Amino acid sequence: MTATESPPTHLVSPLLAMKPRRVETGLLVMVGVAVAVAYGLASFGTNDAIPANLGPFLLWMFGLGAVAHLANRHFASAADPVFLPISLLLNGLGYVVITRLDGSLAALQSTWTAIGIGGYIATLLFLPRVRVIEQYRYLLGVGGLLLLMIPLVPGLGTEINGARIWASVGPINFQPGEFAKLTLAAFFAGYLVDSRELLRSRLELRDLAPIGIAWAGSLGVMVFQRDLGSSLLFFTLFVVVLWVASERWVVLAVGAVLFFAGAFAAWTMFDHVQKRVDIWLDPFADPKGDGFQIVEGSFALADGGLTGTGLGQGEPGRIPFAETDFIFAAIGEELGLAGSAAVLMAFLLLIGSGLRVSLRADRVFEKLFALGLTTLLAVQTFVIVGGVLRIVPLTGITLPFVSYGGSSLVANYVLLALLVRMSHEQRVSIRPAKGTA
Amino acid sequence: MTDQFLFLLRLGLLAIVYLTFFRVLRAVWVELRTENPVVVPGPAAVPATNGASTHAGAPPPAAPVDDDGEAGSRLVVITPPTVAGQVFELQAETTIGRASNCAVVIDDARVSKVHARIFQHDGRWMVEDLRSTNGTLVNDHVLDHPENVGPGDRIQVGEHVMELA
Repeated sequence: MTATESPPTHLVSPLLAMKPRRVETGLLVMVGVAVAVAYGLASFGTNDAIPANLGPFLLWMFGLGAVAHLANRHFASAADPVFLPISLLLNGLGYVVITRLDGSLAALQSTWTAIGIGGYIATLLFLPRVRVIEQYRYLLGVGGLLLLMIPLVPGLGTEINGARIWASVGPINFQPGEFAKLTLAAFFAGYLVDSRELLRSRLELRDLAPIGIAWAGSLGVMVFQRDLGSSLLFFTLFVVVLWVASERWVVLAVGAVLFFAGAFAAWTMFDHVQKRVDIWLDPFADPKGDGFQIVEGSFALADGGLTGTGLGQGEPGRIPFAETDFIFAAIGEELGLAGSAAVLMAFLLLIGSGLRVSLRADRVFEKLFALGLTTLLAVQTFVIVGGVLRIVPLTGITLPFVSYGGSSLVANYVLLALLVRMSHEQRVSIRPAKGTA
Repeated sequence: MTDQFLFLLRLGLLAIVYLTFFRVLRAVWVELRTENPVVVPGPAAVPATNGASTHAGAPPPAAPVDDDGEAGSRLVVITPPTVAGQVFELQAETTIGRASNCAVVIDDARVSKVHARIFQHDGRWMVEDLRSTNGTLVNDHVLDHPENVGPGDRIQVGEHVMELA
């Protein structure tokens, strides 16, 4: 291990060492085959027939994948090849399960997928450098708060299933909160770039004021919109980004204390929170009433066994909201432990790639922004999968890319494009001199 | 019969999915391995402080000076981590800047087109800031006139730090 024994070799730039777009092509073909097989299997399982619209479906799916891939080739040629194929795999598997659960949602979900890919390409096209976002940080912060408040405006906001997180403009319903996540992540990152040096050099009580404000804000979301999942998501996002920016463990400790204090307060004050916790602790106390969803979800997962009942051959339709909140249980029933573990692995790979973007970022804003976006994906996945598996109390939130839901899908594709853009930027930031490469 | 066929097809589906994950992991592995910074015998040139205590098993460094042109004739990128470990052999005159005809090209908006140069003078290396917009740092101080540099000295241009080795 002596340094002197190994003469220094000239490093080839990572850009030249591997061809990310070629790797991506290979991965996309495999993902395409997997989704096509899944689609055929689901149709065969339900109707005993090869789906009539297999041709158009394949054309549509491969078309969308190819367009997104071409966009990568043109606008982000050096980016990590992992992001797009893994997201499309999750999206495709989700689409197959949604179609199989409720045929009427299939057309809508494929439209939303197309809009999502459109958002992905538009983000890559109009945002050549992520650092541009940094100068609009306060605007984005205010914008995020306004987006969060839209559902509370009478006439615009609609309450669906007990949560006031929807906005209706004409015939279109959407969840502004899904986009508020992105703008708030940008705001947190930009804000902490400014105050980072201060936070690192000293730590007084008043320096922790921002955590307090974020905490109060997320409690507000919970109280006024009855949206536990988003509340948890925003708070975790802020604490994680603040922790990395300040490089201090005390932030995590204070965050955890505040979280449990807030959770306890909410538990004592609100009936619907108490109910959630009671169901979580003992869903079988009322298996046909309050606990019905979780109980059915657990039965579905148990029925799936190791490799599942087969797509189209189980009965995940019994679970309420199987195509949104409980899609993980539906996948677990029909593809078994192997299938649901595959979904979790896909998220792990996606999150790993996101964290690598953050680790390799050479500017603080990009580092914190990539971390924030990745945290959003990770926490959201944990909250809903943990809820379905009864690790944490259930809160209604979508499983990114998999669940049915237009706002969520489009917002997540934009999130993906931002990570891809940053990944591309950092891999072309330096080129070796001509003579030495 | 059909059920068995569907079961096999389902196993096939799972196999493709896991194979995809395997390909992803392999791509990541290949990438991480290529990026791994090369160990350069740079630190050996600053043995006075840490040579004895930290390099337990290593032979004592041969105290290379600039005489043979070996030590201190390379520029090793320290940060950003994306390009850390890249090595540039110093020429009689090595230019650093954003322009593509510089010997060391740094694609960063805060780096001027021809930002700084490293050149040989009386057998020693000197670094000079070429009136760049944002300046050049040598060992964390702003360079206002050409300075002698030797092994271990760090030159910062924009956010890129390079060390002479």
